[in-house]
Parts: sequence; structure tokens; C-alpha cells
Amino acid sequence: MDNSQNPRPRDAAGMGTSPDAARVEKVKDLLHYLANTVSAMKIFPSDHATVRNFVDQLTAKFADFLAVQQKLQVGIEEFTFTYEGRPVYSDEVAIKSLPFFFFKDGLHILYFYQGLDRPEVLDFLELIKNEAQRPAEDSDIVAALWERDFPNIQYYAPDEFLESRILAERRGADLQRPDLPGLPEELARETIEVRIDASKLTQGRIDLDPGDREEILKASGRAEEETPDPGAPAAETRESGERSPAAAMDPTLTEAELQALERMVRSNRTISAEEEYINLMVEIVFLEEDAAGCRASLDALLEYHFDRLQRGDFQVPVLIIQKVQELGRHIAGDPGKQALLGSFLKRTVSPKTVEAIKSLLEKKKALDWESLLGFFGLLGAPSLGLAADLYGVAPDGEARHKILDFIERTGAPQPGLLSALADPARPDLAREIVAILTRLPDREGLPHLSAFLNFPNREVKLEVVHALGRIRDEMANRILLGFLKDPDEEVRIQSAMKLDPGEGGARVQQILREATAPGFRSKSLKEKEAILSFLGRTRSPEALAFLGRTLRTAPIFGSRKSLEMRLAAVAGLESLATEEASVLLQKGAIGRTKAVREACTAALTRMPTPGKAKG
Amino acid sequence: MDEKDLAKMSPGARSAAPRGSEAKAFQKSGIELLIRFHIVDKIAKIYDIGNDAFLEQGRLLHESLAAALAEAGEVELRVRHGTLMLNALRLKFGVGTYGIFKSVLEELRTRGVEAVTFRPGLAREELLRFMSVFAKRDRKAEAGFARLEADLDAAGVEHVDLERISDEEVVQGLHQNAARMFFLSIVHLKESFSRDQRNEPIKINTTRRLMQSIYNHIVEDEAFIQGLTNIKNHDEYTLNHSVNVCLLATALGRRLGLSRAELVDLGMAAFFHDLGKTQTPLDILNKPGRLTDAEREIMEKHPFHGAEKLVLLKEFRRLPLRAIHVALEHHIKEDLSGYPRYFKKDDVNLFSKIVKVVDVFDAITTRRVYRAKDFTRAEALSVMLEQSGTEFNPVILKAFVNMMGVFPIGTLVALTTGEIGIVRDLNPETPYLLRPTVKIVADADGRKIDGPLADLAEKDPVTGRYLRTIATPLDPAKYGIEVSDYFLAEAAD
Repeated sequence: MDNSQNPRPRDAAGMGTSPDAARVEKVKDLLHYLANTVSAMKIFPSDHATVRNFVDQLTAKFADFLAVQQKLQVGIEEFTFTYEGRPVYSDEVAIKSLPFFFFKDGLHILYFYQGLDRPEVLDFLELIKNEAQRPAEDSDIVAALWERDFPNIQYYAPDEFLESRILAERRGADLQRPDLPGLPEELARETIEVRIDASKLTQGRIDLDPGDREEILKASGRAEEETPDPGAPAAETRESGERSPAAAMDPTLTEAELQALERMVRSNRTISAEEEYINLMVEIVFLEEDAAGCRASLDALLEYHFDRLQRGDFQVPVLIIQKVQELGRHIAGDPGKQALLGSFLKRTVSPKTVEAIKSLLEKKKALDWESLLGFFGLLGAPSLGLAADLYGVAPDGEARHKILDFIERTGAPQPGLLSALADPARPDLAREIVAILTRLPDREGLPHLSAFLNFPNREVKLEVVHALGRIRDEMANRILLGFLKDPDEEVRIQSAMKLDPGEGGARVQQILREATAPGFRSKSLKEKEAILSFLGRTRSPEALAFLGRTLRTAPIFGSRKSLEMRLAAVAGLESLATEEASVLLQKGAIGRTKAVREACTAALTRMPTPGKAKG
Repeated sequence: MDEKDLAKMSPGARSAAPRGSEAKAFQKSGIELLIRFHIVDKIAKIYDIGNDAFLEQGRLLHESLAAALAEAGEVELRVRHGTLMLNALRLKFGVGTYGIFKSVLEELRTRGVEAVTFRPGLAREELLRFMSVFAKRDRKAEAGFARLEADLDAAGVEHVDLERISDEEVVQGLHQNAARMFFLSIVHLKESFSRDQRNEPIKINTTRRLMQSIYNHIVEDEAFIQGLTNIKNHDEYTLNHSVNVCLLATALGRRLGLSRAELVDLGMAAFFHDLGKTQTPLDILNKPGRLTDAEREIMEKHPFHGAEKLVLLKEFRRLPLRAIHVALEHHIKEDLSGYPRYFKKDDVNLFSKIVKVVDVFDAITTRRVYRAKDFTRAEALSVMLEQSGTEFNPVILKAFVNMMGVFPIGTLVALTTGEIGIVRDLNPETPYLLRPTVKIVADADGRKIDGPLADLAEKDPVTGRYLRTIATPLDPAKYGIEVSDYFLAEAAD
């Protein structure tokens, strides 16, 4: 019996009748075509026109031959195919030789039978291709053929090959032993031989003891009493119960039992291998008493976790984390193992995770974002960084929307983590984070907008300023005041414009100090206007006094800066919008400086009727 | 039989072999035809051609065949490499039809027939004549085919063609190869264990290939393989036991209808099921007498250690996942007691349930220093049946008993003739459960002999009584009989 489909060669050594030349030529042509088709399949995908054409032609050649001969038996030698003992195809380049590919795994003969159709030919070719592409230690064409179990392609691979492989593996191991300097000759030539001294089976006696002899007598008596009835042997089963206890039952399976078995077999086939593996690993971790062993098992599980992540199979990591968390709850009284589980869960989040997902995206693999974010959800806040990383590489708006949704949900309880996600290198995400922080209920995100005071990106800071401006809140104002010191003028201007005057006298004093500081005059007109407008909006007496004084200060040889100060004071008084401000502006509208006059006139035109002004 | 299903299998339609649901329908119809053939064959052995039962069953077979012939043109039943092909498609058996497959396969092989082809024009009477001639029990492979052909000619059978069995189908050195495979398995397992201990990679590809070979041997002669499991090497108990468990589990899995690939996985799982014992100290493994609580605790860790070793193997990815199930679960009982105790999982894998049954069977039929008594194979089945439903899954256990027979292969038996024999093969038919084929090893006077293979279903043609009946199973240890020697002697022939 051989490790194969087990046909025995009828004329493998070329002992058959002499084949006719035309038949041999056909086989030669067919096998060349087979080799060429395999080569083509290694280059092109199976649905490529070239491959389709090769497979069609090869199928036709098989059909043509088998229609007449019923069977094609191909001998396999190291680099040669033979037919009826004659070489019909050779290729001595081991790396690409098809005969050698079969020969190396102990295949001696291939049989192709009538009935071979195109799908079976294609399956056979695919099998060869797949095996050829596997790493050498994984590939075994004979094992693959056995597993595939083609109906019309059979093979012969003698057990001697397996025997020599097993013995060689043992010898190989022995050779590596330092205590065994040389391999004994008899071991090197060793084969398994079955020897038995048959004479001991036919010499001597078996003398039964009285008890067994008595049984024979009783049984003989029963046999004598039996009425011969060849049609009813089944009754014997029940009678024999006393002789062998197992005989008391009829071991024939009932219909219900057969169905139960079928159900078991079917259900065994539908088990999710992933889930079963995780379940088993978690049970092993549970049972493990040794910390090193526990760590090793968790490492194996972690490796599996990353392997699945790399394949984009995010449901598995979700399951792993759920099960490990469940185990953690179960072993609450075992702090040592708890710590190991905690460490495991932390390690499930690592740069490798993002790398794995990025790699999937680079391969244009369609990701199951729901599962991925479900996985992140299990990890909780520690996964926010991963989600942020992925936001930048997400392929479309929908995926980005899902990620943002996840970030908002997960980060809401800890807004500080959200603001930490804002990275100058990812301004798009930073703007979204600002929006999220602004949206958080009870203004919990507000204090964390101060994190943007030192943010280098202007657009993002403006986003923050605008967001703060929409919130009438002391905290928002304080942050806006901070932005007044921003190096970017536009940010300062916008901050000034968004500042809420409120009722705080301290703030007026702060702005007045700023406005009277030497550097203030050097600011642009626009910024001066923005700040003095804010002063005006405070409608405080100090602001009115300062603005009036500034408007009136008109040196004969005034500089541009002085002029800008006066123009900014006009803007401030306009914002003040009181009767006193109006009086001051009217005076300015008749002053000697044309630009100031025009500005005051325009401001008065825009100003609401004094007394009705807001504020 | 569904005519359309068979029509797809007509010789002219072979290039469009059915797949998927069509193939399933064909299987169903093909097996129905095979069952009818089997029934008529069995009746024809007992009754004459005029018997009512023969006529009725013959009519049904003819109806099926006639319909199929009308559609398919020809109906060919062929033996190919240990399987049965119907019009070029392999028929697959299930747990309920295994006996029929085996019986029909044997019927064809023992008559030297590779293929039977029924041709159009086959009348019912001609079919009955064919079946009557074919079913005669005295056909032997050597001269059987020629005589069978001559008898069919004489009976005027013209629309049934027979094809003589080819050299390819006559497997040479079958038993010798099977025995070599058995010992090779031990060598390979020993090497695998020692590689594991040296932290070197286990040759999983070789194991897989070995399992495929084991499957092939089981297909070819399951009875002999079962016979080999009588080999008990006490010095290498774990290795020998693991190989026995592997062989029996694969055979049982085959009966349960597992696919070839599943059987290889099951074989591998069974093969490595005791890998964890390499971590159990030998003085505990081989301790005569009862283990202390502490020793028992260590002993009971071996399933866990085995599973852990397997998951940490470098080649783990190439191992079937169920090998871990089996390593971990083979001491968990059907009622989930036993060991280890899971914290969450509330079921045990099918493969583990299979291995559990054969594991216990092989263990309790092996003499061990720590056990006062080992059981004979027949006793072991009875003992196990008492624990059906608690220790073992009842249906799997019953399937195992069905496979092993009331008197399992290798059972030493005393016959009513006074002769002593060893059960060599089972009779696949339920009515003959107590009538296996027995190798006579001692005559009625107790002299050891190289006796014949006696089919206990054979009757005296004159009296109608059975020629031999099992009087009682014997304990081979009591009489110094090493049952496995008789099987190995067959291999050495």
C-alpha cells in the first residue's frame, strides 16, 4: 500500500507492448503543452486570455487522447516524463522542470482518465501553480493531490518515499547531536522491516482452563438446540448478550442517531476557526499557572491579533479583546494574571496596528471600517491616537466621517485627549477637533481650546478664534485675550474683534495698558482699529476718556502712526455708540485733518441714533 | 433512481460531470442503486431465483436500472483505488451505508471484477440470472473471473459486461506496507516528541503525508489496520498508544462520514493528543499502584501541556486547529466533568469526542503496571457502554461499537467446535454481528496451528446449521497469546 491514490504501475518499467509512433507523438505533444501551460500560469492570472487559450487547447488534447485510449499513464523520472517506458518530455533545469517538481515529492506515475473535463484540468493546473509558489518547506505536490482527490487524475507515490523521508529526518536529527560524532553504517541504511518468528505461532498448545471449557460446552449445547433458519439470523444478537456484554445491544445506529451524527459533523464544519482558536487560547491562559507560560500564550495570541489586523480581518481583534477582557473579569482575584492581561491589552494598540492598516490601504484593500472602529471602540481612549493617524490616510469622506464620529464619541469624556490629537502636521484633523471641542455638551471642551494658543497653524487658530467668538463665555474671552498676543496679526485682529466686552473692568484696564504701551502705535491700522473697537464696545468711562483723548491728540507735524491712532479711536468711538461718543465724533468731523474728518463723518453716518445703541 | 441524475453520468456526458447540487442528487440516486444491487446480491446468496423476495427485490433493481439505462445509455459500476465509481463519478458513503460499500467492493474484488456494465436491452429475467450467478459464494479471485464469465455465458447473460480486475487494483504487499507504516508512525512520533523537547521544528508536512498514507491503508484494508492496533509496546507506551489512537480515530471518523481532509486533520490531532505527556515525569507515568493527589495533579496537566506546546510550535499554522482541541479536551467527559475544567467554553469538539472514545478503548485494553487488570477488547466495549452519555458521547460510542463489532478484530475466541481463533474481520451485515471471520490458531485439541480463515456465517449445506459459532471470548494474556503476532505474521508473509 502506498501513500497515494494507490494504483500500481502495470508497465511502469516499459514492459508493455510497443506503442505506435502516432500515439507517442500525441503524448509528447500533450505533455509539452502541459508544461507550457503550467509556465504560462506562473506568469499570467488564470483568467488571462493566454492561459484560457492554453487550458482550452490542453483540455482538447486530453479529450482527444482519452476518447481513444481511456487512460493516459505518465511515468515520472527525475527530469523526464515517460510513456510506456519511453522518454517523452525532459527538462533538466530543476527550478522549472515539471517532471522534477513531481519527482521531488516521490510521485512516480500520473494517471489521467476519460471523463477529465476542463474544470478538472484547470483545477489540476491551479494546484500545481499554487504548490510551486509555496515555500519549499510547505510544498508537497503529493499531499496536495491527495487532498484535492481528483476524480479523473490519479497518481502513484510509493510509501518507500515516505519511509525514507521519515528515516532521513531521524538520521538528520541524530547527525546534529553533539554526542554522536558519526552515523553508524547500519543506521544509515536502516529501513523498517517487519519480522516475526512464525514458528512460535504454530508450535505448542493452548490449554483452556475449566471455566472456558465449560463455556464452550454450554455454547455447543445451545447451538445444537437452535432451529436452522437461515432467514432469521438477527435473533442471535440478543441471545448472545450473556456471552459478551456488548452483544446485549444492537450497535446498528437508528435513523435518529444517524441524524444526530450528521448534525454533529455538519456543525463541526461550521465552527469559526478564528473564534475557536481564540476561545482555546483564552482557556489555555486561564489554565496556565506559570507566568512565563502565560506570557508565551498571550504572545502567541498577540501575534495572531496582528496577523489578522494585517489581513484586515478586524472582527478577530475585536473578539480577542472581548474574550481577554472577559477572562480578566473572571480572574479578578489573581492580580498577577490580571497584570499580564492588562499588559496584553495595552500591547494590542501599537504603531504596528496603524502600519498594518496603512499597508492595507496602500494595497487598495477595501476596509471594513465599522469592524475596525468597533475594534478601536473596545480599546477605548488608547485607540484615539490610532484613529487620528488613520484619519489622514482614510480613502474617502465617508470613512473620515466614521473616524471623526468615533473620535468624538470616545474622546468626549476626556476632552484633553481630544485636544492632544490636534497635530500641526494634520491641520484638517485639528480643525475637526476644534469643532468637536466646541460641540461638547456643557462647554466641557472649551478650556481645552487654550491648547491651541501656541499652535503654529494660522488657519486652525482662526478656527479656534471664530469658535470662541461664537461662545459668550468668560472662559472663551480669556482664551481670546490670550490670542491677542499671538505672533500672527490676523489672529490678533480676529481675536480682538471676537472679544466680548462683558462687564469686567479689569479687562478694560488690560486693553488700555496695551493701547498705551509704546509698541501699540507700531501695529497696523487694522489691528489698532480692532483693539480700540473692543475698547469702545466696553462702553466704559475709561474707554471713552481714552478714545476722546486719542482723537483729539493732533500734533501739527503728526506722523502716520499718530494719524492711525486717531483713525482707530474713531472706530472705537463708533463702537461705543453713545451720545458722548457722538459728540466727540462730531467735533472730529470738523477738525483740521481731512482723513480724520472723513472717518468721523462716515462713522456718524453708520452709527445708530445715540441712546438706541446696543449695549 | 432519478433518471435525469444518472443521465448526466452517461458515458457520452462525462465531460460535463455534475457539480454542486447536481452532484449531490447524483450521489443520492447512485447510492440508491447501489443499495438495491446489494440487497439483491444478498438475497441471491440465500434464495433460489424463484423466491418471492428475490423476485420482488430483483424487480425493483431492474426498474432502477432500466430507467437509468434509458437515459444514460450504459450503467457502469467500477472499482477504482478502493472506491466505487458509478459512470465515472465516485460514490461517497456515510455512516449508514459503509457496510454496503464494503460488501459490494469485496464482492467485486473477490470475483476478480473491476467493472460491471449494464447495457440497454437488459431484461428482468436476465438481470435475475446475472445476480444469481454473481452472488454465488464460492468465487475466488484467482480463477473466479474466468469461471464467472463462463457461468454467465451459460446462463445466457448478454447485456451485462464484466471487466477483469487490472494489476493496478491488485495491491501487492498490502499488509507488509501497512505494518511498516505502523512502525514508521512510531518512529516519526518519537522523532517529533524529541524534536519538540529539543525545541526544533516538527516535520508537520511529513506527519500530514503519513496521515494520508494511513487513510489509504484504512480504505484498502481497515480490518488489518484494526488488527495492527493490537500491537502494544509497553516500553514505548505513549508512542504506541498514540499511533493506535490515530488509526482507530481515523477509521471511526471515516465511518462517521468525515471528509478525507477532515480525516487527515483528525489523524494528526489523535497522533499528537498525548504530546503533553513528554512533560510528565516518567516515574509518575509508569508508577505502579495509585497516584497520590499531588502526582495525579501533575498527571492531569498533560492535556493542558500538550495544547500549550502545540500552540507554541513554530509550525502551528500548519497544524489543524482541532489538534489543540483534542490535546486539551481528550479527558473531558461528555457531561463536561473530567479535566481540565474550562472557565467559559461549554462544549467539546467533535474530534475530541472521537479521540476520547478510542483513547480510552486502547488504554484499557493495554496492560499497564498501575492497573490490576486490562480488559479484552470485547470487555472494554462493554465497560465503556456502561458509561455512555456520561463519559462518552452515546452516538459516537455506538458508532465505535458498530465499527469494532461485538467481537472486535483481534479478539481471541473459543468456538463451539473447540477450536480457538482470532477475529480477523467483521461481517458488515447487522444480522451477522456475532459471526465474524476468524483465523483459526488452535485446533479442537488445543494444538497451535496455522489454520484457515473461517467465515462464521457459513452454514452446513446439509443441516442448515452454522459450521462454527463463538462460544466465548478468551483473555489472551491468560494463555500467553500475543494477538498482534498473528497480524504481523500476515505482514511478514
